[in-house]
Amino acid sequence: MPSPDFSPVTVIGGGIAGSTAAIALSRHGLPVTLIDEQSEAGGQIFRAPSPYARQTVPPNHEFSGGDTLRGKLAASDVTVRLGTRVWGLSPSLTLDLIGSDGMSQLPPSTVVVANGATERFFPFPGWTTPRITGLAGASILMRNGGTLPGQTVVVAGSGPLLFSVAHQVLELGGKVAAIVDAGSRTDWFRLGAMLALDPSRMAQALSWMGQLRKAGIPIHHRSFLSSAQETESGLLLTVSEMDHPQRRHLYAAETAACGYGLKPSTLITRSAGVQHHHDALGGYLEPVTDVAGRTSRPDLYVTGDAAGIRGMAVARLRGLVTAHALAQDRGLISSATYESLTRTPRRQLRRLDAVSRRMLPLMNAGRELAASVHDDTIVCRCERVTAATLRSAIHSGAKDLNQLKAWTRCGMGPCQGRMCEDSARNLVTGTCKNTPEDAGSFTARMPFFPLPLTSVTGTFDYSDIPLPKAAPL
Amino acid sequence: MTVALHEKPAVYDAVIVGAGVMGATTALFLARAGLNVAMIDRQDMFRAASGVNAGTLTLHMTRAQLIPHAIRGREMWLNSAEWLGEDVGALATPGLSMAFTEAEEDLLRQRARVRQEMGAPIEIVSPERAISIEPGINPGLRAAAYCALDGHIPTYRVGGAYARALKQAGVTLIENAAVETIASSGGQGYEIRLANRNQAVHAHRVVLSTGAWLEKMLGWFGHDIPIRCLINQLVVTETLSPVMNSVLSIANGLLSLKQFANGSVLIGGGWQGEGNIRDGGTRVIPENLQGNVRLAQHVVPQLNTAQILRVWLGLESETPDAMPLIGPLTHDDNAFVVGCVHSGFTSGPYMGRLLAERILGADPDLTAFDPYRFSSSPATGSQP
Amino acid sequence: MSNGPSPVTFTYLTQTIEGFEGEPVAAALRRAGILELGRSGIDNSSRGAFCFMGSCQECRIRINGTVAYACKAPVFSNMTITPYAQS
Ligand SMILES: Cc1cc2nc3c(=O)[nH]c(=O)nc-3n(C[C@H](O)[C@H](O)[C@H](O)COP(=O)(O)OP(=O)(O)OC[C@H]3O[C@@H](n4cnc5c(N)ncnc54)[C@H](O)[C@@H]3O)c2cc1C
Ligand code: FES
Repeated sequence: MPSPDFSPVTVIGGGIAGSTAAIALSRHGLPVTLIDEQSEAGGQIFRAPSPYARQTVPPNHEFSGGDTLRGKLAASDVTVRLGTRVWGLSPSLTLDLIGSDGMSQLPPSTVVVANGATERFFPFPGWTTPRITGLAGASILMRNGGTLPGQTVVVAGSGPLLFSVAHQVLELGGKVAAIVDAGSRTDWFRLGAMLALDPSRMAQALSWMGQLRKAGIPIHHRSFLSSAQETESGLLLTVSEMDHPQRRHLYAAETAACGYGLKPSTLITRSAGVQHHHDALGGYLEPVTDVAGRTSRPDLYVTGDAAGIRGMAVARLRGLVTAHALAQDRGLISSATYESLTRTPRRQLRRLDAVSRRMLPLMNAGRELAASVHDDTIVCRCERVTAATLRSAIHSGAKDLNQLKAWTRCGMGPCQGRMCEDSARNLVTGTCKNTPEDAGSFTARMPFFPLPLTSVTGTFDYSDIPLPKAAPL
Repeated sequence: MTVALHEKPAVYDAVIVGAGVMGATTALFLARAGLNVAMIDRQDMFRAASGVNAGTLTLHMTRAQLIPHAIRGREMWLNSAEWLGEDVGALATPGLSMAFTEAEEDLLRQRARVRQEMGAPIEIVSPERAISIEPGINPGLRAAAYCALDGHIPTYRVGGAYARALKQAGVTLIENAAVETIASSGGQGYEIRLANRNQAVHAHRVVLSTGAWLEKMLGWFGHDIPIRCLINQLVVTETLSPVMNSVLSIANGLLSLKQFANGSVLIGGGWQGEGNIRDGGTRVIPENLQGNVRLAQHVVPQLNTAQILRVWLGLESETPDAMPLIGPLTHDDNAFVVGCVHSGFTSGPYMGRLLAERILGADPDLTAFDPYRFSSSPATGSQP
Repeated sequence: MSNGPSPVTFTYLTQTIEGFEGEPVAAALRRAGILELGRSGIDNSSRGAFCFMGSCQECRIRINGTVAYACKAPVFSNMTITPYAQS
């Protein structure tokens, strides 16, 4: 056993995984700093509701779970830095932060990345109008903000979130015009049989699905939102069937919510240079980790959905196991102690992991959509790059995402490719013979999101500027 | 031109190693002259300096001795439709280099004089005149050097344009294949071995145009020339309403500032980050980011409403005398180099064309760029 | 819940908006029927809060002049909201 090493640990992300890991790490006696961009811990699922949402949204498991987690965090020795975002990092893992107190840096430490997931989108004509939100976005607006995206909503995309969002719309007194699912009905039934094993949200999604159907809400499987047109009072939405593109269904709604599953947020892990691989089932890039979240760098661990989308139950277990593994790697506990502390969580993890991996193809059911998107459709929202522009660059030889970005500006805008990377990759693999691995991913660059220029410059005098030696004449 | 060869020859007339602006232009003009050309790169083409540079077409920052070349290169960019086949969007603008202190003013005047002598139409103007040319600048300046021939080019449009032109000219492009060795194959030219490929590539002639990666390859041909690798920092803002029209810089050359047609402002000037030729740019140095951006904000105060969108680092190469390497590397005139050109994006098309002309038998004056200047035996004009 | 959310008013451009302290600005604006929060700097098309997670950057506005995310910035009394104008 190595001699105990009590140097600091930084956890990025205060969702279920990060908060659980931070608390467990500090119980091992480690000085832990937890950083989260939100004003309260909880992450996406246990996000703290606004005072208004507490009044409008019926009490639920996520509110109470989040309150409990925040309570435990407050009672722990973890130093919590909320409202703080990591915008860059150095090869030695110095973290560049910006918060309400301005810019700061955290010296190199062992980092546990628990920054969760980002939603995946596939484009369609009209998807940039403010009347369309992401599916996860709509859920956050309703749960955290207690506010309907619109009085009538078309809920579209893929994965279990579809049914939970539809349920939330009804809960707040709105109407669901239709549910449009890229997955097939049989996929769901096949999954249903297996869900007896899983007491969690997946089962709930299936029961909501049944309720929604009973309520007479049209549910289109193997279908997708193929266009959104603005009308005087809202949107005219076209739903197309994936296997019979000529079959269309029209719906009028005030807004639509559309999203195609989640993917790990990898900007931080990519810029830290850890190894990643393409998970074929999930259709996304994820860091290569062992069961405890160890990566190819000894000073960086990844836990929760950031290591692959598995949902909240797995996130908690992963957070625990990562913390104990880190404590073992630091020589704070023996391997025998690690074994006994993690025996139960690891057994639960194994079972839940298998179940939640089965969900991935359902979330990724829209994978064929980006490749067939119409030429005029905007793929990159920020730089307004159309599918035609991307296809023509691919034909000129840009078969790798970074070359595609360099030649078309796709992914160069403020969101840094978070909205378009999956579509761009699917366009490449659908247009030429390149695999997702060949196509790669956009190089992560800092800042990870735009920074006010004055936050970098501060107040200064010309004479403060350390002008380097003049260039040769 | 329709000489596109679809069959790969057993031995290429010329293989270009390094697909940046230098190598690609050389390849283009060689292929158009009827040679069978292949171009090899360790990654995708135009991803190194030629894909990430600031796109300034300036005479204020170019080395004084290279001003005639920069003027010709700038003209080529402005007429890219004619020789490249596409208008890549180069824009002619004025350029202003500014001085804010007495020392800077001296430097400005001294540098302007040398550049004028080399043919740059630069004149020193008063603060009032500078402000009338560019109303957004800090009125606290003491003097400015004004140059009518300046401008910029949206770098991102260049790589795709070259790809199409090269394809049309029949150049075989081999990407993601680092050249590991080049050996002479018994009087039959060269055998070029690539990483991850069993098949070697054969060529009668080779051109080295590997930018920051030149040093090792030059060694294969007996030239020990230390190549310094600069890790240049660039910062781009989100789009904002127009705050400037010209290319702005300061007396010591450590700022380049311009606003592109889409509204984004690019801040450069050669501030350094950390990195190396193996890993590329590895770290933005916070103090250098802050210094570079402060300088920009000092020059154009309205940048205080901007948002910094991205920071990146690019590798640029420099010889011990900061002058280019262009010309033959061997006495039999079968191996050549083109690279290490200061402000090389501006003059790149012209430099690449010069080398192509040299290879095709013309005799442009490349004396100042002769790689043999770093060793004892000069090669210029020598024949086997 | 002992004390419910506190109602406050704030200004969006010239309009007075009613909201509740601490709720995301985008939620209060949405209930007031304001979905467009800005325009694309590239094609001037209308954009609003899309991801609600701080990823898309399309909900950015200015609160008393400072750039903020409408999807997470909390409402407070008498704040003044203007669009985050790109070019
Ligand atoms: C950040 C930055 C900003 C700049 N701004 C300006 C500016 O505003 N104006 C201006 O005029 N100039 C500017 N420059 C300079 C200009 O970009 C360069 O002078 C010019 O692009 C160099 O072109 P090149 O072809 O010599 O090198 P590169 O473009 O670097 O090309 C070299 C190629 O060789 C390849 N290679 C390397 N090793 C191997 C191997 N073993 N096998 C095969 N291939 C290999 C590389 O992958 C690369 O594609 C800037 C440079 C940088 C880095
Ligand atoms: S809605 Fe996407 S960042 Fe706020």
